[in-house]
Amino acid sequence: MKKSTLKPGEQGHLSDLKKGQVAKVLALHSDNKALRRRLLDMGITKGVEVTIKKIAPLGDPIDIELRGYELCIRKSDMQNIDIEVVK
Amino acid sequence: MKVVLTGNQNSGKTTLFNLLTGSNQKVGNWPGVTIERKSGKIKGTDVEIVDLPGIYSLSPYTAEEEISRNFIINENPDLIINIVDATSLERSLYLTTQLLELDAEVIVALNMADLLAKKGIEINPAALSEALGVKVVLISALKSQGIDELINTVKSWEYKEKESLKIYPAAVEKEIAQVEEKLLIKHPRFAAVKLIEGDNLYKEESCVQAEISRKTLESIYETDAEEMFASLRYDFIVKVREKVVTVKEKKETITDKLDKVFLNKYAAIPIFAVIMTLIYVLSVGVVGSLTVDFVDGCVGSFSDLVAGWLDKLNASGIIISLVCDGIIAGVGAMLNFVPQLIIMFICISLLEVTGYMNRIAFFLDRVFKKFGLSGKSLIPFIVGSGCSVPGIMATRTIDSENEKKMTILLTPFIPCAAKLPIIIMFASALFPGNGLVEGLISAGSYFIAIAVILIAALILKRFVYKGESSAFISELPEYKLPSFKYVARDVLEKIWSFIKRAGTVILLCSVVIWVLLSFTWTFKYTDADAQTLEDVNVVEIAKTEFGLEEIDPETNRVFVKNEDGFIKLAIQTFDENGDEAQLRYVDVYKASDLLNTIDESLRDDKKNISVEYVFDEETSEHSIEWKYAYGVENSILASIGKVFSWIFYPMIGEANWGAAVSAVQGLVAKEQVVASMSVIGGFGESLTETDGAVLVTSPVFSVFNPAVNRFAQAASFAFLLFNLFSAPCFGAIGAMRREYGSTKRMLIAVGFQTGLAYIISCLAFGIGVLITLLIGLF
Repeated sequence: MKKSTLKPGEQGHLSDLKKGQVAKVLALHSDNKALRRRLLDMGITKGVEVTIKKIAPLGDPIDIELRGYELCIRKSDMQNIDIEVVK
Repeated sequence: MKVVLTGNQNSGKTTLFNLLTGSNQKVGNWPGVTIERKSGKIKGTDVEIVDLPGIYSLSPYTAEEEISRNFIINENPDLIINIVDATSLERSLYLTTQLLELDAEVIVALNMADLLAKKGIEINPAALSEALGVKVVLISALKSQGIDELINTVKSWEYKEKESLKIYPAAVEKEIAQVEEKLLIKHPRFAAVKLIEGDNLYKEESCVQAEISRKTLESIYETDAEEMFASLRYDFIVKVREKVVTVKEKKETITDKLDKVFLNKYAAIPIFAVIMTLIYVLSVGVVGSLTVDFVDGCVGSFSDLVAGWLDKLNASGIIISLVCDGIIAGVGAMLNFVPQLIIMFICISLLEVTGYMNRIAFFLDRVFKKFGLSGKSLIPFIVGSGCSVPGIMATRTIDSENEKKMTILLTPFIPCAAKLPIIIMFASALFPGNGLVEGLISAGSYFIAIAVILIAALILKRFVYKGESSAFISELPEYKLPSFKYVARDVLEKIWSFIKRAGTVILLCSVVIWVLLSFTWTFKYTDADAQTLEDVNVVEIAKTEFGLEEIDPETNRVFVKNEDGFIKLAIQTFDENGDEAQLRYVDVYKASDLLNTIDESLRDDKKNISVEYVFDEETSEHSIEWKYAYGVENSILASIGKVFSWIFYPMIGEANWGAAVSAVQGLVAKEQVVASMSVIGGFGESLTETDGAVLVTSPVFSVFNPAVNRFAQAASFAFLLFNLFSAPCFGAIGAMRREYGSTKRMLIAVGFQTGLAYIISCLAFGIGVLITLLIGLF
C-alpha cells in the first residue's frame, strides 16, 4: 500500500500526492523521450506548481491543475515526476 | 495567398473555421491517415484557409500533430491565424512562441472573450499584442463576436508590428544567432532552436555549431536543451501573462462544481450508465427503431408506388425488379437509418461540445488501456449495436490514430439491429416457439461479441498496432453550453456524407448483387411474372384438411412449396394451450399438370415451378401464386456460391451453396440473409425471422434441421457466428473505407474480420460436434 501522506517540504513523486495537495516540480525524468517532451510542452517544467484536482472514479488517471488549466495524466507517468510538497 | 488556422484542441478552432468560411468548405482526408482535412475560402475574399488538426506544440506527439507541424513547416503558409484560448492563456501561448519563430506572419485570435468575465479574469489585448509583437484580435467564436474584425485584419495585410521577437535570455539568443548564420534554409530561427534541441526534424542538416551551442547552453543551465527551451518559453509566457492578465477574484468554477458530480467516485459510473442508456434508447432503442420502421414503411410504399407506376408504363418485370429490388431496396436499406443517425449524431455532438466526452475517456481509461483502446471506444460500440455505420463514424472522436484504427475494425463485431433477425431465425429453428430461449440466444450473442472484440483487440495490439500504448495525456476542458449552430452543422455534415455514400457506392454494390442474383450465365432473367393458381381454393382446404372455419391472418400462417412433384400447402395452427401444432403439408396440386399448361416451345429443363402464398388485405382473398422461372438456384451468384460452397464445409459439415449465397447477400444488408434463405429454400419471400423451424424443412437447408441432422445445432450456431462476425454490410464497409481514408486498409480490415469469423465459427462447429457426440455417448 501507499506510504503515509507527504507533508509540506517533503519530497517524492507526483503520484504520491493526495487529492488537493499542491507541489512544486523538481525534475522530470522519463525513458520515453517523446513522452518527456510532451510533458515539458504541456508545461511540466522545473519549478511549476501543480495541484491534484480530480481523481478518476477508478483511481487512475489523475487530473492535475497547472498553469491555469487541467491536465489528465496516468499514475504510471506521474511516477517520473519528482516534486516537493508545498501544501 | 495561403492561410492556415491552428491552435490547441478544444480552443474553438472548428467553430471559428466555420464562421470564417461560411458554407464554402471542402472536406477530405489527409493522405494516409484517418484525419479529416478541411479547407475553404474566407468570407468575402479569395483567401484560401486550411483548418489544421489541433496541436499543443510544434514537436508532434500524435499523428494529427505531425500533420499540422509538417503542413506549417513544409507548405510555407503566408499567414498563420493562431487561435488562443484566453481562459488557459499560459498553455496556449506555448504554441504561439513557437509559431513566432517561423518565417510566417501570425495573427492571434484571442478566443472565449465571453467567458473571461465569468471567470473573473481581465485581459488587455493591446498589451498582449505589444508583448508578442503581432496583431491580437479579441473574439468569441461561440457568440460570433469579433469575426468581422478578424477578417478585416486578414484583409488589411498588416500583421506584423515589429521585427522578430527575442524571447530568450541574451546567452541563449547569442547561440541561436550563431547557428542561424550557418543555415541556408527556410525558417532559420526555428531550425536553429530545433538543431540546438537535437530534434529529429532537421537531422539531415548536420551543423557543427549547433552541437557546440547545445553543449555550451547545457553546461550553463545544467539541464538538457529540450527542457531548457521549454522552461525558458514558459518563463517568457509567465512574464507576458503578468503584464496582460488581471485576475480579479479566484472563484470555484462551474466546471469544478459539475465535476464534483460527474467525476464523483461513486456517482460517475452510474451517471455514465444513465447517459449511455439514454443515448441507446434514443438512437438505437425505442425512438430509434420507431424512426427506422417509419422510414422503412415510406421506402416500402415508395417502392410499391414506383412499381405500380412502372407497370402502368408497361415496363418489363426486369426493369421493375432492378428499380425496386435492386436500387430502392439497396439504397433504402441505408436510408432507413438516416433519422436514427441524426439522433445519434446530435447526442455525440452534444457529448463532445459540452466536454463530457473528455470525461468519459478520462474515467474509462483504466479499463480500456489494457486492450489498447481508450474509453472513447465505448461510444462507437454502443452506437454500433444499432447500426455499424454511425458506430464507425463515431470513431472520429478518438484522438489516438492506433486506437481509432482498432475501434473502426472492432465496431462491426457488435451485433447491429440488422443482425438480430439472423439470430432470431436460428434460435427459432433450433427451439421453435420458445421465446425465452430466443431472448437468451440474442443476449448471449452480445456476450460472445464482447469476447470476440476483446480477443481481436488483444490480437491487434500484439501483432498489428504494436508498441507502447500511447500515454494518456489529455486536457480536461471546461464544460460548455453547446452552440445550436455548431451542433446542427456538425450533424448535417456527417449525415450528408452518409447519404452521398448511399447514393454512390452502395447503389453500385446493390445493383451488382442484384444482377448476379437475377441472371443466369446465359444472361436469362431468373424471375418471371407470377400467376394465380386458379384451381386451388385455400379457404376450402383450410376447412377440409385443417378443420379451420376461417384463416385468421393474425395467428394462422400459410406456407406453400413445390416438392416431390406436388404443390404442397401447410397452415400453422395452434392447440388449446396456444402451442404450435405440428406443421403438416398436404398435396394440393400436381406440379406436372401445371407444367403441361406451359407451351412446349417455352419449356426449359432448368426452369422450375415456384409457388408463393398471397393474402390480399383489401379483398381478404387467399391464393397461391406460381411462376415458371429459372429461379435463384440457376443465377450467377448461385453458381459462384456452388463453386465456393466447400469453404463452408468445416463450418457446417456440408458444402452448402444456399448458405454461401445467403452469406454473400448479407453484404447488401444483414437482414437480407433471412430473405435470401427464404427465397432459396423455396418459400418466396414469405418467411420472416420467426419462421426458422419452417425454413429448415427445406431440403436445401436440411443441414440446419435437428430432425434430419444430428449436428444441426452445431452447424446453426457456427453459421450464425459467421454471419455475425464476418465482413459487415456494404454500408459499414463504405464507412470503414471513409474513416480509414484508404481502400487498402479497409480491405485488410474486412479480410481480418472475415478470417477471424471463419476461424471462430469452424472452432464452434468442431466443439459443437464434440459436445453432441459426448451427449450421445451417455
